[in-house]
Amino acid sequence: MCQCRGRCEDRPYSLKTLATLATLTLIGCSGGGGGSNEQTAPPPPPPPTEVSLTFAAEGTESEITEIDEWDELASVELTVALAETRDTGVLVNLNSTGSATLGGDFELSERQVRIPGGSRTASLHISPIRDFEAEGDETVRIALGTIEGNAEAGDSASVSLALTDQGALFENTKDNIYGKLYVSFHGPAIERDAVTFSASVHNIGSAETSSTKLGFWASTRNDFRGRRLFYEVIDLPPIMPGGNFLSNFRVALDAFPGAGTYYAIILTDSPAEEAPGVRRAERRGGLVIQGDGSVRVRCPDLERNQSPGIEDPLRPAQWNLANTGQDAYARTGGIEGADLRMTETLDNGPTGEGIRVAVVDTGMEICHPDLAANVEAGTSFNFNQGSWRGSLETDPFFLATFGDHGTSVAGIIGAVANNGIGLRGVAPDVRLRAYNFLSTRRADSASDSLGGSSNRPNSSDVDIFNMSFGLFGGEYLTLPEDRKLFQHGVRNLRSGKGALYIQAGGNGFNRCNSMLRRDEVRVGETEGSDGVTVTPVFEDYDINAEIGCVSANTDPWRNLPYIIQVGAFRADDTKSSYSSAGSALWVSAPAGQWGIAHPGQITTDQMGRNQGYDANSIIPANENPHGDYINSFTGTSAAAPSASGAVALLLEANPDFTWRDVKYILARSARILDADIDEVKIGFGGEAAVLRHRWITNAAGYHFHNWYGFGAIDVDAALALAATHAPDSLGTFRDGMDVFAVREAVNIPDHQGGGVRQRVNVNGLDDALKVESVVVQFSITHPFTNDLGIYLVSPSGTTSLVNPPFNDVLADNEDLDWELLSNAFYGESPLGDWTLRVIDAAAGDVGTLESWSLTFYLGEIPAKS
Amino acid sequence: MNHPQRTTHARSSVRFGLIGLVLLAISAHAQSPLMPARTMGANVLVLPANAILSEQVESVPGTRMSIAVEGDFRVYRARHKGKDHQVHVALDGPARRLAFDLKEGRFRDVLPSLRIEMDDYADFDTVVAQAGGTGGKIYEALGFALISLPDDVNPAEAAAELSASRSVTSATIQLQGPLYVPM
Repeated sequence: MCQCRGRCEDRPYSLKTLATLATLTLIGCSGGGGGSNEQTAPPPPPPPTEVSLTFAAEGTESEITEIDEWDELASVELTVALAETRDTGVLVNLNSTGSATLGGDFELSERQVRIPGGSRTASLHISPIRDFEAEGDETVRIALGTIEGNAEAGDSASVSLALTDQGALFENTKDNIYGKLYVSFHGPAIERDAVTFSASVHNIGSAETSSTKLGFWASTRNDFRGRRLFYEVIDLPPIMPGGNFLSNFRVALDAFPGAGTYYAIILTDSPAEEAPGVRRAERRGGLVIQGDGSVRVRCPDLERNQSPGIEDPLRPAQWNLANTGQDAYARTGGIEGADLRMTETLDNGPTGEGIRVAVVDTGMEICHPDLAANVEAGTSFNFNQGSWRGSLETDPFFLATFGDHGTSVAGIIGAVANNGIGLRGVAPDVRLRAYNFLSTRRADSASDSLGGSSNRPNSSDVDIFNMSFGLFGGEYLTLPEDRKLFQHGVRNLRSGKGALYIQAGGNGFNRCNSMLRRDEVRVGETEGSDGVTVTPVFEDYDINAEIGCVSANTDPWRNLPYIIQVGAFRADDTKSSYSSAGSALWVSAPAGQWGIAHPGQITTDQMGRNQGYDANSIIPANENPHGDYINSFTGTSAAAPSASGAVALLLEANPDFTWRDVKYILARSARILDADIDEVKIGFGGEAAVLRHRWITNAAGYHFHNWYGFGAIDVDAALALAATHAPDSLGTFRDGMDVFAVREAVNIPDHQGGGVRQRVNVNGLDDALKVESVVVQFSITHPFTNDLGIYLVSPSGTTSLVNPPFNDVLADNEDLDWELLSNAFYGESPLGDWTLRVIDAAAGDVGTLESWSLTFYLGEIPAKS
Repeated sequence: MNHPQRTTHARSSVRFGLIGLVLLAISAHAQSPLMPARTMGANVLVLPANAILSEQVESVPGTRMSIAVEGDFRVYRARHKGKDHQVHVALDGPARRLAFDLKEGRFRDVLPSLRIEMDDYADFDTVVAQAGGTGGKIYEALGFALISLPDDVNPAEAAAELSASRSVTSATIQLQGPLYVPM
């Protein structure tokens, strides 16, 4: 008998097949039994086996199934099966036909399926791609195509699906363009016998506002119930987008009925029918009248008992330092490890000793009992000293009574540890100072506050500038003066090692003013009241909930490589709802939510019960007897100070680190959070575009995501890396000297996900140079730039979305001359072809990419293994 | 109930405005009171603080301006590249001086200060006096100085005057930047 070559298996051959096999065996078998001299022949191949294509799910009764284009979970699994296994494997190609377009309306996980030898089946998925078009229901038929291997199509050679159309996502984005007002107190001016409150009303929306009233009054109660001390309402004039209106309200001091705390409010209101879309805005302020009838303009010397050596009572609740799942006084807690990962550092690590941190903010209570010991005397600066009678130049006291943002920021950075009160900062031994930059609009305040001044104030000896502020965003370019200021800081401060600028990455993710919006999208079904009828379920839906409204890049300072941009994450290790996404982010830090349903940040507050933010705080009175602390500080403003504290620890660990060393250590040691975040892909005009990517790993091995930058700061890992990193070892910084431009205008296809692509070749640079940051400048003529999405692709294939479509700050914006920074290419070689891709996501407006260029910031950045 | 008192000094601007109306009965054909300036990457037209332009003035081709007092407001209007722009300033509100940004197509506030650059700042005090300034500060590390101006000095005029000075390399007006807010 012939020996089988390969495996001998029992196979359910047909009679015909077996007969053929027997014949071939007689001719070709060699060796083995029989001992003849017959020539051996290879065993005959088995006859082709049948290939079938079916739905994988059991119970799929019909050939046709339906998937809803808006149901992300609607992916359908298909099975390609062989009637019999084959030793050498089978390759099956798939074809698609029907009214739906592959790549625009749906996608296949595989277009070619390999069934390995010895296996019978392989699976693939067909998934709908959402689009914004009312196309009607569509069909797709997937069929077996060419087959390689010993197999052929059987009877079940195709499946058909119906894609249920959900209609247009919106009728017209332009229907949602509104004015939006932001109000602030501007001043006040304090004289001997009067105080003048200045109300500033800004239109941060996209359309002119009208029919709006501005009210101002004061009260002895912080809920503004009861008697109004003053009351005035004025009719606001129309305010154009980007415009503002200022009004003064002068109040005689003797109109206040004695010493006490007073609360003031300004608010705007508009009748909905007269000013649709214009929402109410308000700002709360106030002041304290002292016993002598004057206004409190200096940090008050209030009695607080401290207990040196005793653990801070709020320390166990500080989830940003060590998250054990504690609730931090909110209704629900977080998850273990969703923090700064500084367990070892808390035990026996640096504390920021001697590192100078400037809180560039609204002000700071330099006498706050949990800050005072760390405040460096005489170094803070009050820009309002000239207009606040009785104030001090070195006391940036915030006289309004509804919370001092700077005081709360300062506590997260450097609240004193183990003094038996309050909390501890991330770096509890730093030397703090503050500049009340946000409480003035003086022309000199930026240079004075950010390292450009050596006297009154001297900001040139600062190591870290915490910048928990930003713009509402818009088509702004960085001013040459501003660039020069920050360049001076990184080149000259810290004896040439460079100061660290750390900025809040922005709170615009949910700030949808004129966003793309559709109010009712069918999200499911439920049984009707009769138990039989199926009732569709609709919910409000907007795509911006997935991709964000205002990009982090829409603030000009966020497009400078000298500033570390910080995003915010929650106590459950996911993005804080408000935290802006953008390619300019560097890292993320804990900030949380609002401290009610989910934890916010615990920090210092203006001293005194019913002063500051403590009306919104729910720390029990026995743990916060004087109202000096809150649990509800949030925003990327709360993330930046955690980052500043972490950087202070690094600078103490090695004072020789340059600003670029610090950025490198943070990027390389950051940890991935929210690892499973999925991509968001939308079809436009038959072609899909990714509006939110998954985490990428770039060609140099660095992970990046527009929601988190390189990831969450990991203090213990950063300090471990710092122990081995040689200071100033990243080569010479090439500071924007290498520019490559394209000046050939191309049309941007209207309403097409593929968009237009242009390339520029980057050459002539030293091989050792790697990308630290890259800024793309572009000039686009387009009547409605809100439609535009802009991607940059490196020679290594790394894709960075630098401007998402429907960026809210571009609502009703015409033409773009802009620049946007990306950090996604950190460590990659700049050499080769870079591609700019511009897509136009909505129909009706047509534009041109006139020109663009890339500006590189380069150094010798080691790859991340 | 008490009512807050609106500023008396701002009320005086109404009177100045009326005087301005008399003194500057400007027609479209008269010399333009709008001063072009370039600063902070922007080309702007600086508007007079208290004048009234009873007819639209075309200071640069394609851009027409007018200033009127309507009710409690001084209303600045511009027609630029086919679009209308306007801003209302409360007559009894804080003093403001406006410029129209020709690139961005919007009105912006002009700060009461000048940014100057000099080869040698030894004569800085003299330059401050020459500009009619109330003080100043040199930012040596950044290579410029700021001069504070009183409200009644037009920064554009002061900048033009200093630019003609031999000791001053450049003198530019300062525009109010975008509003930075706590995050």
